[in-house]
Amino acid sequence: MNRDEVIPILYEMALTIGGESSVGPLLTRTLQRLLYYTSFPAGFICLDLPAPTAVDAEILTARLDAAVGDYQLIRHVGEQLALPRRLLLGPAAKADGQTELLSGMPATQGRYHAFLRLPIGKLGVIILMAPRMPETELPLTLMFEPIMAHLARAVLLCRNNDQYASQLIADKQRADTRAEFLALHDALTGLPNRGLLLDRIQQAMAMATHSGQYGALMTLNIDHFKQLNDYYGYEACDNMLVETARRLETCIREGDTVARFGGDEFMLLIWPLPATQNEAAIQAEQIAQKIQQGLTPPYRLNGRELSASFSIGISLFRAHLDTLETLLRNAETSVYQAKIAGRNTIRFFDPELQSVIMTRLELEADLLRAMPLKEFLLYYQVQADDQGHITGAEVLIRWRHPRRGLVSPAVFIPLAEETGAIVEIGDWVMQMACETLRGWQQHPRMRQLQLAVNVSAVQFHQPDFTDKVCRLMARYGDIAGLLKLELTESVMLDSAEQVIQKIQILKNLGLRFSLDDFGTGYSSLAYLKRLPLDQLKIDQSFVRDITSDPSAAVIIQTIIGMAQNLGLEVIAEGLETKEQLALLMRYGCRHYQGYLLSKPLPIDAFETLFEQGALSLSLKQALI
Amino acid sequence: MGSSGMIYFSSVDMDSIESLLLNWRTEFPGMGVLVMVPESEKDQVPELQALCRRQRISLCGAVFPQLIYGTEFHRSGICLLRFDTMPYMALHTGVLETTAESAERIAAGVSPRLDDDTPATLFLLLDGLLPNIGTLLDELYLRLANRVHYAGVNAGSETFQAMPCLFDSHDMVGNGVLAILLKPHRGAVLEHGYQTQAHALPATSTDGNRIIHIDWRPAFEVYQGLVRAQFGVDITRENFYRYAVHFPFGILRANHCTLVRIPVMLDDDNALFCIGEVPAHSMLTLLEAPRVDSLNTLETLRQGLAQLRGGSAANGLLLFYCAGRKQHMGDAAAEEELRIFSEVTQPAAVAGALALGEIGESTLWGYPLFQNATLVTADWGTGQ
Repeated sequence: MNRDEVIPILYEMALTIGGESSVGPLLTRTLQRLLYYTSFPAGFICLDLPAPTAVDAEILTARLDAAVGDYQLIRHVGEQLALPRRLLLGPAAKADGQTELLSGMPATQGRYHAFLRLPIGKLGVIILMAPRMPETELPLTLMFEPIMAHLARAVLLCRNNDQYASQLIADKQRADTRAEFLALHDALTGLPNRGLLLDRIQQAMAMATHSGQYGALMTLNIDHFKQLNDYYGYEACDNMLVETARRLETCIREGDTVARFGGDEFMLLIWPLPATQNEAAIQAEQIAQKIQQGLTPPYRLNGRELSASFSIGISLFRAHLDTLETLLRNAETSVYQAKIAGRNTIRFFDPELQSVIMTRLELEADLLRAMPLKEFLLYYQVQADDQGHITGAEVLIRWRHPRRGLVSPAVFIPLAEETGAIVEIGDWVMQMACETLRGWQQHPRMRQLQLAVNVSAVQFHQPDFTDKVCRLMARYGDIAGLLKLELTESVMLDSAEQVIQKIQILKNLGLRFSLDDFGTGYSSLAYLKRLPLDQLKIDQSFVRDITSDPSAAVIIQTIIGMAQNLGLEVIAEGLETKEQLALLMRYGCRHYQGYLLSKPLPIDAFETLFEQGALSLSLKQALI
Repeated sequence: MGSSGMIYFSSVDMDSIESLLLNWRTEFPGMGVLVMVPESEKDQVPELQALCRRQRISLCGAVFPQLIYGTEFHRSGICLLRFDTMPYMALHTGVLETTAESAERIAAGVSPRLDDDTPATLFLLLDGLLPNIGTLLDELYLRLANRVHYAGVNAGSETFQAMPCLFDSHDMVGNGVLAILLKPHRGAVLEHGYQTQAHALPATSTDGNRIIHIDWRPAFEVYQGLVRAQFGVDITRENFYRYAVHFPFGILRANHCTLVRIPVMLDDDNALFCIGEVPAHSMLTLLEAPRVDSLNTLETLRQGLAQLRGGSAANGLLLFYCAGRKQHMGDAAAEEELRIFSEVTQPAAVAGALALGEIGESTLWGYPLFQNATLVTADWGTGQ
């Protein structure tokens, strides 16, 4: 061996290996320098060779950790490859004429016939390949032994370094993520902080500029928080703040933001809200109520239960009409007003809105008391046919408020629907109608009269609606055919199949169905055809305009024609003049309801009217 | 005079050149041209570029110290080599600053044009003053591996003055690489035949093509001592340019194929500039340059060409001859090598240049190496 030829190569290889700090480049550069020095054109490295599974296994599955010089092989770096065991395992060796063995290499297509194998300690192996053995007088298998031992240690060091570096990178990423989070979030509760909330308010304002929708900023303080701190200690109160944060998160809608501004001050961005101020205020107030309810259950502090109360201030905003500073100041002021008002209170910044909300809240509370206080009354409005015969009546509810007097159904029915009171009210109306019908069964002349009862969509979609009606029918005997349920087109917004199924069940009992306010909502003709209805009720707005608005007249004609095609009866409501009546008759409408026939009457007055046959003579003549 | 799409004009007459190019284009509508210009004619390049732009003929080329045509070196004139169909060609600049990125750009340009069934040669014309050619080749081999054969030469001035030496139809640049993808092509053969001395010393400090320290001492001082001890010659700052070409360094490799590095300049810090990169920590031997085995060199080239061709002979041969080798051998011996080369290879034509460094795969396969003092040859006309 010529020492002067060997040592320079080993020297350079050792320096190459020592110059790398990461496994990938270490293997690639080592391979590259070996190819450079030996004139083998290609080579690869496998680390962590598996032990052969069977003594006679010819193939080992090993990961290709590096490859240089063979493009096809390079494409498989990082993959597990099936490689000839006799090539990979064994001491350092070089051999020519190994066509058969090397043809077992994937992707190399028999290009190589000679190889040099250099084990990297027990860690892996380097294989250099050539079409034929490069000439050399140097003992390649022996001379690289110290380099391979050096490489084995270098691989371990580089692996540790890679692991350490990737750990450092991961730690830094975690730290960056945490820092980023902390920059925008409250460290105690994890809620967005002031900065993030202000950013979101500005985004909401920007969007509101285009949409015209309102938003609300709510400020929420824990009442007497300082005293709680003094009494329970900071740690316990910190826990309370965290618990409050979690509860608040469950009360808001998706897209709303709850933030902590510090201390016991929470701020909630509620966006979007409706585009009209009153509706926005009502919805914001409902969310505030939900929050208040969510915070009602007692907290457990230091093993004791604490019922805390909260003051909530609400400030509505829209677009950039208000500055951010003004909005924040208003929200702060409103919560201050809530505290002044006696704490555990919700207050709007705008006094007018506060008044709207207060009125609504009072009415809501009165409505809930109206039923037990028997403040509801039923009125009956005549329905007659074109022969002048009274065929029945529509049952109409009125609320006689002890202070306000008669409250319009247009006011209290939507409120009852929002609060759910409509279900109880509707049940009561239906029961009263049944009572009336049963009473009329005792009078031969009245036993054919029908009663129409309005059923709210909220009531209709109650899961037990059909059960309730079935029970009523069972209880009141053979009156089902005289009870007509008036639905509005809004029931159709729900699942068609369920609506049809419910109607069908009740029709099987003999009940009749009328579609109320027809023409004002959305009614698909295809859908209408599938609904098992008996009657269409032309909305009073068309009837009112029939003599003055040609389009109203056309709509009525269309409705009548459509009803005839579908085999449905048509009734016109809101009939007030003889001219209207004349046109309706000409268009083919045969049933009517309205002040021209009679205003809604208490039951006694209705019965008297019927008994006396008191439809005016001229009207009767007109009808006939 | 010329043959096989290889033409040498002893004077640069643009009318003659235009006429030739138009004739060629009549026969080969998709043709292009590789032009080699000796340093003395470099001022003609802009006019040549204008001609090619005007006639819409694809052009690439380089400026060399001298041209080779047939069995002679020429300090004037011009060599035009026709590509029957213009191959992919790209002129890359900024190679000095970003070696890996340059390799990436070259590989990215070449890769989409390669297929597994057609052998291809990446022929590189480089500015001879680039100090990072070895590293560039390493990086290219990592990316292109055995998808191409590697061949190439350095262009530039014999006096090692910086100058734009690579051109296409529009630009003429220095510090760059002109990459040409010859397809189908089976590569080039390269050999120097210099005998090595066994005594090796480490280049303890290098920077590209600059050897700063050898054996931890200023490179020139060590070099002086080595030459004095081994050959009894006193090299001084004054006679450095005259003698150094005869005492090149060898970088040792395990297969006894030594890479030659000829020192060509000396700086104030007693560092030596070579043509071609000297990898950090290289072990250097001083080559006993006078013992050049010409016959063996030329026979190796002949055998290598025959091996590449696998039988059929090409019409013409490209031949590049290292400028340092010519200086070392002397004009007469160098021309004798040209004559013998033509005799043993029997080509229809030989065209090439005196080069400032050569790239090839030695007489073996695969790994591209940057060399000095060699002859590098390749077929021309088997498909270009």
